[in-house]
Amino acid sequence: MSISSRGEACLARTGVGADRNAQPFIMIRTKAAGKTVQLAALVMILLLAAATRIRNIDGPSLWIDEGFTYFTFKTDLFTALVGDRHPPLYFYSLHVWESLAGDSIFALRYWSFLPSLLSIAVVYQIAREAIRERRRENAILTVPLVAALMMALADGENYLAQELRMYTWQVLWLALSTWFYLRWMRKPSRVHAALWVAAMTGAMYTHYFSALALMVYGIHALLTLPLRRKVQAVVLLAVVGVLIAPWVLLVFTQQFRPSDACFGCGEIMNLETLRSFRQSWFGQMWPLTMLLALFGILAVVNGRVRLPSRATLLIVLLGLLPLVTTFIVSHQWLEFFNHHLAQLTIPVVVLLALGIGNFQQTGRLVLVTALVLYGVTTVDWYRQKVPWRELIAQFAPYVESNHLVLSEIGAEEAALGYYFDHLLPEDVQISSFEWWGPRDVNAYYNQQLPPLIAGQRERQADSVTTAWFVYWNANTAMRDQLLGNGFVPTMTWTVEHLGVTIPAYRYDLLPEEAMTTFEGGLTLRAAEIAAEIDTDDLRVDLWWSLERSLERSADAVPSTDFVTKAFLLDANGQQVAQLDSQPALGQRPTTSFTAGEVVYDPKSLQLAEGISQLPPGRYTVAVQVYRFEGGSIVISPTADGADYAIIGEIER
Amino acid sequence: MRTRTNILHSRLTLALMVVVLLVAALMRVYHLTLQSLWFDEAFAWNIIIQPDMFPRIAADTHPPLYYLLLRGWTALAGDSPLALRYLSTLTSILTVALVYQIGAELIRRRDHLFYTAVPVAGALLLALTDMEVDLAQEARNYALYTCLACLSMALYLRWERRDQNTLLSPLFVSWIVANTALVYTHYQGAFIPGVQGLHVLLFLRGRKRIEGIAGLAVSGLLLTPWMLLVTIPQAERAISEGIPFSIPSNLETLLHLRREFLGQMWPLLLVLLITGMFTVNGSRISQANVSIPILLTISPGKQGKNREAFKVPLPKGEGFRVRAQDQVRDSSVVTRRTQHGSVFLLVAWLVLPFAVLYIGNLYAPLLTERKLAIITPALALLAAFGLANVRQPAAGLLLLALVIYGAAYVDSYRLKEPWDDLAAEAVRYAEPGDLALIEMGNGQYPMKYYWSHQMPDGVTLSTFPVLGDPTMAPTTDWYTYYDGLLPQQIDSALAQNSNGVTTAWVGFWSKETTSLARLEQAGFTRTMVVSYDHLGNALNLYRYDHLPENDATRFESGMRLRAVEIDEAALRVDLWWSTDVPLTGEYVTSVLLLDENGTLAAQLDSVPFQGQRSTLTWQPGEVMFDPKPLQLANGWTQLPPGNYRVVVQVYSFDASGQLVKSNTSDGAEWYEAGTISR
Repeated sequence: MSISSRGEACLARTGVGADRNAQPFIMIRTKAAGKTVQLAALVMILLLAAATRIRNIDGPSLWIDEGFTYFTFKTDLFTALVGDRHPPLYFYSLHVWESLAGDSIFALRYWSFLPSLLSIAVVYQIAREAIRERRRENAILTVPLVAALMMALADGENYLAQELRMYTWQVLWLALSTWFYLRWMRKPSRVHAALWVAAMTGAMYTHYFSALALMVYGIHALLTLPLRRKVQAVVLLAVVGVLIAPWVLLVFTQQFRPSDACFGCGEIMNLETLRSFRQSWFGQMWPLTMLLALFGILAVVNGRVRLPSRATLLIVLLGLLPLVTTFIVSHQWLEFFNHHLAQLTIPVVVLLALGIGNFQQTGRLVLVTALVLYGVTTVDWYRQKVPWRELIAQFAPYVESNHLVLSEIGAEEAALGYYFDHLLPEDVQISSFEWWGPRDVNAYYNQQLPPLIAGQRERQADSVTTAWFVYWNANTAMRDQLLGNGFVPTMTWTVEHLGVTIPAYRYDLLPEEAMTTFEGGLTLRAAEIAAEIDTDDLRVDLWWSLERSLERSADAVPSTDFVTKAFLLDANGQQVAQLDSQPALGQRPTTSFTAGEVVYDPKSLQLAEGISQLPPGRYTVAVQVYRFEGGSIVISPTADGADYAIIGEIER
Repeated sequence: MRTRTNILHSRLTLALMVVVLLVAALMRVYHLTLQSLWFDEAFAWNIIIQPDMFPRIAADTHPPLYYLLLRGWTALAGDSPLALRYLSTLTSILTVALVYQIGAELIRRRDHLFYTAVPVAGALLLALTDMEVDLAQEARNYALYTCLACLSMALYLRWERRDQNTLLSPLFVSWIVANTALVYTHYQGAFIPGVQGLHVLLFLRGRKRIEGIAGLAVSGLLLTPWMLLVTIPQAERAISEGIPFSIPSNLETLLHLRREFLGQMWPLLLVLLITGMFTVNGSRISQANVSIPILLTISPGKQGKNREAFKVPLPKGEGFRVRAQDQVRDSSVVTRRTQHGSVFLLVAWLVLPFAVLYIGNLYAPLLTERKLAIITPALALLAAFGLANVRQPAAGLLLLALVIYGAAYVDSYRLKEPWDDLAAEAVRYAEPGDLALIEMGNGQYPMKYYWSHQMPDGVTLSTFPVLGDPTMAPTTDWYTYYDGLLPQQIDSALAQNSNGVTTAWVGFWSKETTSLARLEQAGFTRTMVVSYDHLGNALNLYRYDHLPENDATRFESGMRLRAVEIDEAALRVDLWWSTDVPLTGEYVTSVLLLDENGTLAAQLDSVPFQGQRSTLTWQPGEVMFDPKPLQLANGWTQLPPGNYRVVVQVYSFDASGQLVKSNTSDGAEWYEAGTISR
């Protein structure tokens, strides 16, 4: 029932209909009530959208593209942008936002979350403009809300709202420009024209692919507007062109050098790509959603089917033209992912809503329920990101400020860099081949890296020198240089990503002379007391090796799985703290050692009250090796016949 | 008298149903024999070929009707995979037609549009249901089970609608027979009379109720002898030993079943199923005395108006029976009860089997996807009613979406083991006198099917029949078979081929290795391995040969030609090779056919065993079977009559690409293997 007919019905029921003067009052009240319901529904949708977008926003680690965004914080922004292929608005605005909100993943991604939320409200307005032309008064309440709901549930928008990238901003700018264009088309005014131009300019300064939408506005204006308005539209588009000209003239040719047209990271449009697009925008229920979108092109009014209105034509063109254009030009030079066409979400959700709006109430209810059920239970657009944070967090507690941290992981290095910067000690030395920098391979591997490793080698000539190495590449130059300088891998941490194991290695350069060898062949190559006793974080680092592999056999008597033990003795020889475990945090039983291999074995000494609660005095740090035999502990004496080896003293 | 509208309506319905049935037939016949028969199907075949099949049925967990029908069917149509499966295909197509009938019964008093649309849409949805299509392509009882469930329900609804007291009417008797046949086809078919029984008790009154109970009781009586004699021991055994392929009752299973029955469009189907339980905005006619699913009518306050509606003339064609107006007023309670009852039938048909199997599965292994196949007609009909509720154009669009999805995706499909391909690998080389052993657990039945159909006459087929199979071995005792019968069969095969090579084929996918040990104890050597992957498992075919003690010859390369056999009929030369030391070169083995003048008539050169066993991979002591089928452009029969010499040679290529022949130990360029005449 339409607003007006509801008002009339209300009048009839109350008998006020006899008084014609009272009718407008009743209708105003009804309209006001309808608006309140609309607003409440829209608020609910926005809350739903906020919930789905904010959930786990800082869960996944940064990936390549987001890594570049973070890279812009570490270098001159303009120089970085010249080396990239995007316009500047998002990056400059993000820098301002970062200065206000900080650089946590949550804060940085929040800058993408906000426009995604705003886009929902704007899509509501676009759908309202589109349905207004259809004169479906009973759908004017439903369609905008359904469009907003579909936008809230759109997996693409949900995904991009959690990305440290500009795509949700682009969608917002284009949604605004579409809305302003529709308003300007319906009610020409300078304000609408100015807003349209501003939104288009914002879109162009956010992503170059926005030009596809501008092209649509131009074609639409030429096809549907009267002559005078056509001229006005062309002039307004020309104004946008003038406004973006400075940036284009300044950097465009540098950003798009023919020699490196693509980083080899995208896809050529083909049938397979179209299928993946279908999945991204229409989901597994694509037969339904595509039919609904197609049906949305038509307007069913009072049981009669009408051809598309001007607004609907615009929505259709906004969906089709970018897709067709990219399909054609991708075969020449462009290669891209689906997020480059994030703007397609706007026409898709509006057409879906228009399609649903063509049905009667029960049909709408069934469809909306099914689509909501699907939307909240299924994800069709998602990128599984490399869990860099999890990898770095594993070994970060063992990194010290005098260590060298290297990585060889291709374009992901900037993403990894974020976690290096945030999880490792501040003054640790970090180096990798800068993928987003000048990319001079020879300069880095032949001139920059060798002195760095050599410098680290000479840094602690009389003790253990450490380098960390995150490796996911075919290039072995960095590893070769480490090995060439005498560093040996002593421990590995790994994460799984899509079935691939990504390792991070600890490399150590050890003193030539071993400290002692325990009975059974276990050699203590080196030992260090890694932290201060006052911090409650007293760690003893041990390095073990074997001259020959120990047998791994359940029947072996005695068992050769040794337990290594680090402990603290007070001045009276009383043991006050200890940690016993198999080496390398229990991950490397001594039977898994290979001959000549060195195994890092950190031991964090623990005390119920905290190490810092120990009485002041001198404490001896010692290491012992034992095994179990018949349920009893059998201590392996040192080469000197002692029960344990003393590795140092600490003062508290 | 039928109006013109009704005639047009009937023709339209007929045309639509023809299209739906054609779609159903196409979906079910397409790729009907693409996959091999699997265990269940071959098991069914193995039962019907037994001279006395009842002991075999009693040893199984199913009742006998399907086997009896299949036996009769194969007597007419043969027992090819196509024929075996076609019985299920036909019954599944019939199910689609029956779903139309049930839909028509349930929606009987609605206006013309829905009267046509809902039953046809229900039939169409069932035609596209993947579970039903998959079972229609299996030589098992599940398609018949669903078909008889639909037949029983259609007859019940028809009997329930008719007022006359016809205790012994054909309809009543047919319903009893259908129920009996249903349970004699599958025990879970008892859900349908169960649902009907609940409906009788809850929604029928007076004499109709007594007749209904009587009908169900008669069906029960007809089942009693079988139940007492066979079913109870079967159930006890099933509970103690478990039922193969049962799935656990947990959330994972629910998600799996959701995918199997509702597909990726499950949110839409789920909403339609729920919507189908209601009648939204009931029309004037929809509240007449008929089976319309109304739990909730979302247009209250129209009772008076509805009664008025009966003043307008209603179509009086077939299926439209209007009560006298004075009856209507009195029968409003009956009407609502009837409407609720019809919804109850569909919902109970859907929920009861699922709930009982899912919950009962916690106590005994009952739940499998295919046992739940009985609910697919209820799913299709409820979804069709849901579509009817959303009205046009939404209903049409949603149906179109479901049809596109149904045609584009398969959500329920059993990937079957490629037994036919594996069996064919042996058939290609098998000869009379060979022994064919099957050591494949449940795979013994499909392998038995393919080998018994495709192996040459004179090949002895043998397997240890775990579940009993008098056609294979008169024992189920392990020792009697492996220590008695099998060694006898091996000795017999050896005696038949005392002068040449004796071959045993072993289909192997088991932990039981005794048959391999028995062959090796008898001096057989494994000479060929073919593996087929099935979901990460290797299905193996082994060739074992008992070779003559002396080599045919040795080549300079170190290759020993252990034996040669010439199959004149197939024009194939079989070679057996071995080596004492690992070979360092890649050698090509070659068989030539030379006429009396020494002119080459035919030849085949290849890396041994069809290029798959490079000499670099040979292990000392291993024997390689190396068949060389000689090919002639014009065929063997086009050769001029005469004697032809078969020679074997070995060569390799040096670093410069030059061919280097490996001479025999006698210094000859090749080994003279024999002569064949044409």
